[in-house]
Amino acid sequence: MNDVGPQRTHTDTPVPPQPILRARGVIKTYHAGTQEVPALRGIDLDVHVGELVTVMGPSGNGKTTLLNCLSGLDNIDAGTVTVDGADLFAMSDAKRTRHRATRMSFVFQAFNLIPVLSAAENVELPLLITGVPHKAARKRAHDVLGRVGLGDRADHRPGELSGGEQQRVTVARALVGEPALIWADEPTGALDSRTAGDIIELLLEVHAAGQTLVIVTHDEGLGRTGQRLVQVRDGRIVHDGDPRTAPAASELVPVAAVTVTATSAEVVL
Amino acid sequence: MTAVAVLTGLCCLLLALPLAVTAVRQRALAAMALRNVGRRRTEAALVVGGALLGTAIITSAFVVGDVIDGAVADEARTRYGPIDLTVTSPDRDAFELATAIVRDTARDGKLGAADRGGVDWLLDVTVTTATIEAPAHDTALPRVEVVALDLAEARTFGGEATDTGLADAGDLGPGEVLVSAVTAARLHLETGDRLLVHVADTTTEVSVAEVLEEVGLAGYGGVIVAPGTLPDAAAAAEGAARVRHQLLVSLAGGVFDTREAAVDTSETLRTALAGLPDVRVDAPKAAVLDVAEQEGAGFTELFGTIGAFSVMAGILLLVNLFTMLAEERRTELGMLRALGFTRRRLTRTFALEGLLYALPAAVLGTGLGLGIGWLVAVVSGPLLGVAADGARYPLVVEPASLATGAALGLLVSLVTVWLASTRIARLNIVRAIRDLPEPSRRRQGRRTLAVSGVAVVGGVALSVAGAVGQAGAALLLGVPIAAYTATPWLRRLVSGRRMRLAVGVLVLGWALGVVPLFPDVMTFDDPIVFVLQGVVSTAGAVSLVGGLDRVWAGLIARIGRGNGLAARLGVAYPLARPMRTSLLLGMFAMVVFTVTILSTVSVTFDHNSDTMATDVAVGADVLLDSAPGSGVDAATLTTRDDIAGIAEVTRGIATFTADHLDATRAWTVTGIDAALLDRGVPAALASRDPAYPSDAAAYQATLDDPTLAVVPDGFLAGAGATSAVVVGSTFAALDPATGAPHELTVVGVGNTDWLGTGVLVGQPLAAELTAGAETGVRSYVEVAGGADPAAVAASLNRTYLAAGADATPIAALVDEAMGQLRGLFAMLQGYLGLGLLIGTAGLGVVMVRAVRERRQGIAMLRAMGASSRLVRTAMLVEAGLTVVQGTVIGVLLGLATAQQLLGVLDQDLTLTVPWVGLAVIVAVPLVASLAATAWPAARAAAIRQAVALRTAE
Ligand SMILES: Nc1ncnc2c1ncn2[C@@H]1O[C@H](COP(=O)(O)OP(=O)(O)OP(=O)(O)O)[C@@H](O)[C@H]1O
Ligand SMILES: [Mg+2]
Repeated sequence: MNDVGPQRTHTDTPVPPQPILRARGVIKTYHAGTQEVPALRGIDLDVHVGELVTVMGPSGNGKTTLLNCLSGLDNIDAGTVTVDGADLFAMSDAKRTRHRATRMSFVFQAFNLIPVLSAAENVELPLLITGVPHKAARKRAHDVLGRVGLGDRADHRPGELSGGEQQRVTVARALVGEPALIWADEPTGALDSRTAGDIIELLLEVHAAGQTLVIVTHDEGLGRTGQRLVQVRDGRIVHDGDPRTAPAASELVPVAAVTVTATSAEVVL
Repeated sequence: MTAVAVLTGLCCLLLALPLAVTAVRQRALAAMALRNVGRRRTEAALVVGGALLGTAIITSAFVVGDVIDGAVADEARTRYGPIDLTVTSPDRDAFELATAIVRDTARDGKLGAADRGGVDWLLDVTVTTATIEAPAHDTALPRVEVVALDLAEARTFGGEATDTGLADAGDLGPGEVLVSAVTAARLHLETGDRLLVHVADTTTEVSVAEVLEEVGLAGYGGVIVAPGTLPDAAAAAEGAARVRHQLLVSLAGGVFDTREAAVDTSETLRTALAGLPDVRVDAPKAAVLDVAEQEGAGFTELFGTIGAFSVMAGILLLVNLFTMLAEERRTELGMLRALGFTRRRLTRTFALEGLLYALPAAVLGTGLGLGIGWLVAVVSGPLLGVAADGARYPLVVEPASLATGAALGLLVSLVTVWLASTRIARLNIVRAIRDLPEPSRRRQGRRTLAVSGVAVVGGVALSVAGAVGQAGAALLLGVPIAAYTATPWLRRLVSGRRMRLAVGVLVLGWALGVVPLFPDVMTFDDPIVFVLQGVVSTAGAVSLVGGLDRVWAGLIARIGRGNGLAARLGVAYPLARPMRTSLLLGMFAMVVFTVTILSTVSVTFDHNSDTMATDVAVGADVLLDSAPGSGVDAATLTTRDDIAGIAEVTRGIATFTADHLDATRAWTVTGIDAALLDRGVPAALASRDPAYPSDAAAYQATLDDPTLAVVPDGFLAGAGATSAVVVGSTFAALDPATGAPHELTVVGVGNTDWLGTGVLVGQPLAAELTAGAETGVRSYVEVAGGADPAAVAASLNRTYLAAGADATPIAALVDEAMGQLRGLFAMLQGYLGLGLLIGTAGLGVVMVRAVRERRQGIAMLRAMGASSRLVRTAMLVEAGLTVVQGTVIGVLLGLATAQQLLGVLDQDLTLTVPWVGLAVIVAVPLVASLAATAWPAARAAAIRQAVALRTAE
């Protein structure tokens, strides 16, 4: 991981006019039987190149949904999402898939590595999907595994790696295709605090090297050290900007409780 | 059979009882198992479907035997009815003496009391062999039995008028006859038709009074006349042995109840009549029932043997399904262990779920097997002419057959369930909960090593014992057992891959090499050896292919388009799960192996049919059968200018016994003479006593020495078994008058008896053994150069119609027999199709489960931008590759084994590769499996990544 950069540096990149991600009025409602669950109630969000955006909020308030919808993994009910200049929901699923393959990548809480493939084989997958020749893909995979500190474990299967190491592999897999944007949903959720710290460190290094990242997290530390914090509550963005001016997590909890009551009241009516 | 059913039933009970107790005592466990089954209805149905096929195949093999048995045995009703014994003589005086003796003996009660299998009724008849001609329809039928009897007396014969088939027949006017339905059909007769009855030189004109259904006496002969209808004919031909006086004996008891009594009484009568020359005692109905039983058993064995491969495939599928089920449940079962479940309780919980699949599978499988078995019997019976023409194939099934089928099927499932459950209960709790793979243990416990050491020694000893004791099965199995049980030791020395390679090479080499190495032991006489060789060679080949996994991976990656991602993903799972892959490969290989052998043997026979006809033709082109003294003799025939040469033999039926048989059996016997041997040998020998330098020398010895015989392939064996009589074997022919055994030693064994020459002995002995029975003269006719055998045969039939001649080109006879054989092979291949169904369905089920297992991985692939087509292609590649590997293994092994089998059957046969058949054999499973995988693949491609990524479920 040494080649990522010896320490965190401040990146004073000037904000470019065209954001890499632009979401406008995104609405998403789940239907569970007869019941409707409004998960996103109108999301407007811009993410610019080189930004590190952390998304926080109480459980069940729509963070994962936001990530899924804004990355095009899930469909939306209203609004527009533009990534790298392309309107995600104006194109066919196949096209959206291809777009995703070249422009975005993901890190999830459950590592989602393919158990029968070695670390290197897992990492090279995104390249193979976009049609990179096998030899070149394998070489890139080894390079990136070296970057995340797993150069010597390339031939091990996920079952032979620790949780922290597996998550490093997924980070490597996210980096390998040099995507414009990396989405991470609670990347440290399944790890103990020390290992989680290592992974956060790694992600910050990745960001420091110029990578744009959107990270959904419950980790206060990561949220507060980020450059920009987005707080989600009840399907809406309630804060977007400097982490230092954001309300504390504890302040958000009662509001969530009120929301729940309101929703149940609606149901009763 | 009943014993097998009871035994397997007990085993099932032993395995199921603890589960039932658990279910009752711990309702919660039962409820959990039930809910697990109910949670995924479709998949539960698929598991039951996979499990029931094995039971269905086992059951159907038994049912085929039962139905064939029933169909052949039905001849006892249609052709004999109340007739149990016949006392026959061509000589009037001898016959009258014999009748008096029989009546006396019966009156003295020496033949048992009338109510206990004793003689019940006697009926005097005269049987004349005649040629019947129907001028109106321009049809003729040689060698029809015309039975002269007193109708009124006949109706009461046996005490039950309906059994005689004559109950409703009206009285006959002068010149009127009754005709059996089969004879009528062959001649296209209707009531009122005029018939010409030719006996020797006389012709009588009669008319058809009625056509009767074949039952009892009405089926005994083709035509029934009143005594005196053929007076002149009978008198004229008496000397020519075409007329036989016969006393029909009916014993107390129903049509099917007198088998034992008939055999006993025939012995007693033979002794009582021993002094009379030319008097013969037969028990024809008992013989029919014997044959029925043998035919039935033969079919059960044949279909059982062939079905064994499908059953084996079924077992592999079951093991696969339960292992997958167990693996899928690992986290859940690990949680239960953590909550305090003991291993035993866990085993039972899981086994209980298995029982819920196994029980309905056994019941449904038995039902399906019943249907399949009946269908197979109904199709193959008439095809092979096992029962009489027009015989019915009623669904008669022994309850024991169904019980055995169900119990065997259930036992297989239960054993699989217990093994899978015990294995899964040994899981490591922590690893299971975190869903980490169990590490492959390089170091084995001391106990494992000790057990494996003992097993290795035992395996080697088994092979040695087999080689010494001439036991093919033991010889074949010992080495593979040693090789596989040596794996814990090998694992200490080499990697898993190398070990699989080494074991695979050894086992496969052994399976293929054991036949040439030990030709005397590996004779394939016992069908089980054949099955075992298939299993052993498949296991070896699958291990070998498993050991070559790197090679496949490299190959696939190279073949794949672009960077070969779909292919790479397609092989990743099979390569990472060698055990599962081996099971799937074995499943396909096993079935394809058998289909390939059948198809190869069938095509090879077809291809060699000309040679085969030449082998049995003695240089002749047409076979002419006629009655002795009918005027169709060599002297007359050679004057024709379309005939170049002729050789005559006599043929008849004799009764035989051998140590390996528990009842006597009737078989054709043909007498050979010097004139025939001058022309050539009547059948090329597949094997002969090494004391004779040539086939001709062996035949010459048979001619010179009345204690020697040449027998055809399959002599004195059931339909399914291969020959149990080999060179050097002894058997006995029974003297028809005294019943005294005449010992014979086999000096040569021929090939398939296409022309029905049966046992070949010297002419004088043949005459002795067939005395009193109807005999025939068979002429091997060599047509003059340029003449068409078919035309000559037709001309002979026309010319000698009245004399009852029956001429057929030899090539046509062989072709017809070959057609039956082809039919049987086709039938067996269709039956094996069931095995392919198992394979295909199994692969489908495995892929469905695979999709569930890999849901998250697939979703992640999609999130990374993999197209749904890529996901689908990867699944199809995976299935296709498995099938292709399995079928190729099966085809190659099948060809190799067919080669060995043909060598054992007949050295002269050169293997013909059935290219078209092989193309079908490879294509059908591939297409079927791809079709079966299409659904799971589509499901995989349609996985909603956003949902699948959220949860493991
Ligand atoms: N498939 C679904 N069907 C119905 N409701 C859903 C579905 N998926 C999510 N929800 C609901 O949508 C809301 C938002 O869920 P989401 O997973 O986005 O929350 P979250 O903020 O990521 O929570 P957490 O921090 O616990 O991960 C929740 O109320 C959840 O119950
Ligand atoms: Mg979430």
